[in-house]
Amino acid sequence: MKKIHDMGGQNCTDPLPSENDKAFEKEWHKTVLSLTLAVGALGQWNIDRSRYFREQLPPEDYQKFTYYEKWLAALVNLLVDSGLIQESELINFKSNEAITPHSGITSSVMKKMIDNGDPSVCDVQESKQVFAIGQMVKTRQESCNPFLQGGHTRLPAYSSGLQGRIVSFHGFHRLPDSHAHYFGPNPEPLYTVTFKANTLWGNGVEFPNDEVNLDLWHSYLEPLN
Amino acid sequence: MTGDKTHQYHRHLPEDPEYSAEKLQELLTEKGLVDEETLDEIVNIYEHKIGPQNGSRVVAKSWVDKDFKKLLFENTSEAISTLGYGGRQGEHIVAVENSPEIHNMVVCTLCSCYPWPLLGIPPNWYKSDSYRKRAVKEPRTVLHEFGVELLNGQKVRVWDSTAEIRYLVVPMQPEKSLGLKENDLIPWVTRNSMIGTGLPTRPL
Repeated sequence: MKKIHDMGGQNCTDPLPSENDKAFEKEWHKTVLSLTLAVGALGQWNIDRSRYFREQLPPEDYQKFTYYEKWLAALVNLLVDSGLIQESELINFKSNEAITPHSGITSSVMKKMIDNGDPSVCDVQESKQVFAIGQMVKTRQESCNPFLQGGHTRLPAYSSGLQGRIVSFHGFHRLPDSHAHYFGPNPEPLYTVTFKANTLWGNGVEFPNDEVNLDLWHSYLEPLN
Repeated sequence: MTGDKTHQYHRHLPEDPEYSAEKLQELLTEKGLVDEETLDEIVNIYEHKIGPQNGSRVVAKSWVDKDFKKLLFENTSEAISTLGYGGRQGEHIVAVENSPEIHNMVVCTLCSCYPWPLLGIPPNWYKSDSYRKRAVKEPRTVLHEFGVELLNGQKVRVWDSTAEIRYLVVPMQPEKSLGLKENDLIPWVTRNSMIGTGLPTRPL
């Protein structure tokens, strides 16, 4: 089933919003971004899980919310899901326990974490079948999570069940379908796959030879003869 | 935790996000999970230290320094690390080069993935539903709305950032800027030219 966040290629006549060069449009955006990063750095969840939680907002909220409202609502759900806060504490935004001194991430540790990032590439000893550059492949018929019905996946619906060609290989990367649900990183080969515009959109495409490139994991793909 | 179930969440929050954000910060502070100094440092980094000026420097250098350009396309992460760039949401960066044959353009249809260490926080339009829906299907119409004129015979290649690979578009150097020094080229390299929704332009 196609989910609300998976919107690539949907018919849309809305113009693009006018440009704004500010890093933060509103003061409270700073609060939401910094809370998300500072609490995320505690390691109680991972980036795939936070994406999954944004996708899992009720569709009417997802549609209506601005970007940072989605972040804020998903952050609260992550905090409750991980047990860092209790739902009852959200009624008056008061802690159920005594006030606790800061035991979270300090500013110098946070700076280091931003500088270092969190690479998704994994060292993998065993060699698995790796598709060759130039090889034709077909994407999974449905964009769905194989581990958990309705779970997280990064195969956009518009690219499912279609033929593409492998153009590059990026090593083994954590598989979001697994990692988002705490089934482990399950690293898989990650490829860039190129699709012709007319394969994706059929007749009426703007220009048939244009291309869309997507980064897709091994298990999203099957080889074509 | 070893397993998981499907989640469908409802809102826990009051309607006003500004109020909720402030109250949530108070609650998390009471619980000792965050402190103001760390939050201020994060904002300071993304407001003042990390932004499109980093990417502009990378592109400008690639226009005048052949060895750097070679490394940039062979191993982007290594090349940008020589200028001190890398880290969160830019752990795996790939530079893609525009040419008279190819015009590159970047989107994230599933969320809003973006090369933070080089371009900062994504602009409002990049995160909009409209861009996410349209960029893959009608890139030429979108480019036209941004005022980008494609060359005759130039093919459009859209990169949908579905994994942790982040893309930096390296635009062609404008003829009028040939011969300028690296530092004077930096302001030509606009943010949008590094996403593919703009072209480098003479600074005002």
